Amino acid sequence: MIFHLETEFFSWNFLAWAVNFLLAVLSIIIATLALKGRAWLSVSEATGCEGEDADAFMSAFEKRLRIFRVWAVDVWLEHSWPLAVSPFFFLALFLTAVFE
Amino acid sequence: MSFNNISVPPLPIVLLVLPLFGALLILGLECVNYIMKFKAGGGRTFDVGRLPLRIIFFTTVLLEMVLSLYVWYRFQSIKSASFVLNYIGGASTLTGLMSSALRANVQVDIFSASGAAMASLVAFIACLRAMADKHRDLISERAVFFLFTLSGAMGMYFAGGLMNMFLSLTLSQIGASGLLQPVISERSEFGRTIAYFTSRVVLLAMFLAGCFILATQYDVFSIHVMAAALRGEIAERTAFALMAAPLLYIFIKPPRYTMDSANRCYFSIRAHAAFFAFFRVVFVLYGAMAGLERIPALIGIIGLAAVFASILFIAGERDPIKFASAAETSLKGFMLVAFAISLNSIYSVASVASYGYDATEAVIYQWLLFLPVSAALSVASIHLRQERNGVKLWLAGGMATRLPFTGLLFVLAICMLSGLPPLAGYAGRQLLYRSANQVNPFLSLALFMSSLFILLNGLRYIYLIMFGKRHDDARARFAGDQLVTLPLLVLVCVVSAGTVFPGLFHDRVVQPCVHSLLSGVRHVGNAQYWNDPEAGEEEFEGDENVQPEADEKVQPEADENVQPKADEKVQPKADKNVQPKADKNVQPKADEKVQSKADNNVQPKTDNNVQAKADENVQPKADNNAQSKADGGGSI
Repeated sequence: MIFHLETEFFSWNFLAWAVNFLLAVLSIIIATLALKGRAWLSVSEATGCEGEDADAFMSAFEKRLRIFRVWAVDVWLEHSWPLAVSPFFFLALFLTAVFE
Repeated sequence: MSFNNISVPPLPIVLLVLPLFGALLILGLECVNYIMKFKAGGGRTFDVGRLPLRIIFFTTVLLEMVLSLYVWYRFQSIKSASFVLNYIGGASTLTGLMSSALRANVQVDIFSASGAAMASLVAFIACLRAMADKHRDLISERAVFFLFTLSGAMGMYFAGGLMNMFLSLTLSQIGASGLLQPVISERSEFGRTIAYFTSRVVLLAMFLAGCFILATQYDVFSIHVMAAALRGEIAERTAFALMAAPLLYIFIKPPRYTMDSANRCYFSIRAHAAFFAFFRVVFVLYGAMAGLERIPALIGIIGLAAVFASILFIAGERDPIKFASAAETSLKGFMLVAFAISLNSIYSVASVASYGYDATEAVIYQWLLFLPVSAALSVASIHLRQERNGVKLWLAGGMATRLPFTGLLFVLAICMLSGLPPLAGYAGRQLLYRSANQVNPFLSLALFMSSLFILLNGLRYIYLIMFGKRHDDARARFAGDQLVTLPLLVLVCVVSAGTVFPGLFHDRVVQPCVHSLLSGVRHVGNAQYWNDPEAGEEEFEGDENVQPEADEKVQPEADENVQPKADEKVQPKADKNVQPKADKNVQPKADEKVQSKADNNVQPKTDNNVQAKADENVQPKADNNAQSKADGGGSI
């Protein structure tokens, strides 16, 4: 494992620092490529669909993803009834772990 | 008159009382104002006056910050565990029962002092932000609820008893709820918020029920007294679930969508204090108790779920507030995973030595980092969420040239949160990867990949907002950028500067916290021996490397020399004279004598290495239950 360097960080070991810094730079490069990748990989290539079918697929997928995210976030954050019972859910988790 | 004769309450007590006093002063002025206007026939209006309100609020929070930093500084320099009772604390002027009550109810160590100092710093910055906010004026209601939240958080840092912790939790909840929904004036509002208030009441009721279960068992509320007495019975484990669940819930639950950065900062302070209280209950009060072995796994799973959920929420998000909330959740998830690894380690001394310290240090690093990062994300995201001159900043693009300070703050916060070197988050994340690798390499890999995803999305988001294509008039300029973000930017830079002198930061802040925590944990590695001595023997026999050596050289001699003497001399005496009165008083004496004789006889004949190994291994077998009862278990 690259992170299991047997070095002492607090002696300011430059090897560990450099490895992590390189990883950070690498991650930035990957991020840039990923952003570009959306343009490189067209919808039709990704799905095998053409024209309107591809658009329909993506919109449906995005719609489902968005619905899920909105549902997950709103149920958790906003003042709907699951919020009132969610403490019991946490309690149930702990009781299960303690008494299982 | 000498200064020694001045009766000053201990500073930590002042830290609890000061915000409460400020809040009550504002409420008192409101009442006076109301009465005067009512008498004058001016109708029912609530208005303290803009300037007095600001002066009271600002002075209170400023004093709070100065005093908490002083407590932290003094505690570092005197290195005493009884700060609250010494001259500096002022408690030396208090006598008798009051002093005992303080000792029982206030717990000050470097861990709590660090938390309080960081919270007061962020509270002060949030106070500046609240007073400078032109979109939402600082009214007395808000100031009172800010101060309630701060006072409650301080109470949670310094609470030495469970009931104090409950009262502080309630106070901070009143403050946080008030900031979210100050006054319910219409029936529809009540219906809309009933779920929220129900959940809050349920949380407080759960914690109170846990406190009462323990109080009825031991007739005491002090955490440290209870920690030495708890045995892991069913009622105590139920109390554990009742107390741990609400604290974890308050910590992990993201705040509701709000456009007020000061409110969000105070919510973060509350989450920070809740995590501290969670630490106190799970780590210090219960520790490695038999029956709670699955708790580290549960906390770890919740932490991982939070990290993965944050990745899901952060991907493709455009709203800065939702983005900041998801990023904050990811940091909470990492903290919980580190906490779980740390908690898992204290079930065996070998694990503490192997990865326990690393994991605990990782928790402390991230816990110290949590407030500045959270505050920076809150302030920057809400600033970006606003509209200026009809332009939605977060959709306009190209903000790097128009809001450079906000952009820099955002970049620093994301990089710190992702553990990017050389910023302050790096050390904590590095220690987390190391300790996770000791538990399971895949866990380390999952954490690293998650961290990388968050960094990627963070950078993508910053790129879109800061450097993306402009969709408005490029000549438009936005004033006030530095006013909004500069105080936080200074704080973030100061925190980040800790990485320039990592050894200093580690030695003066992190390591004392870890030492304080781990030395306060009872029953490290003894969980197996509490109720089931056989389990202890199994563990003992399972140690292939050390056991044979200890058995061969030490155990036979100890048995031969000591056991007959113990039987002949001590036991009959005890039987004749003391046995009818109480077993409790005599038996430990017998054990002590036997133990000392065993030491005397064995020590000269064994070398140092063998002695150390023998002590570690033979001790539990010789006296499983008595040792843990007499000492309150082993501590490292």
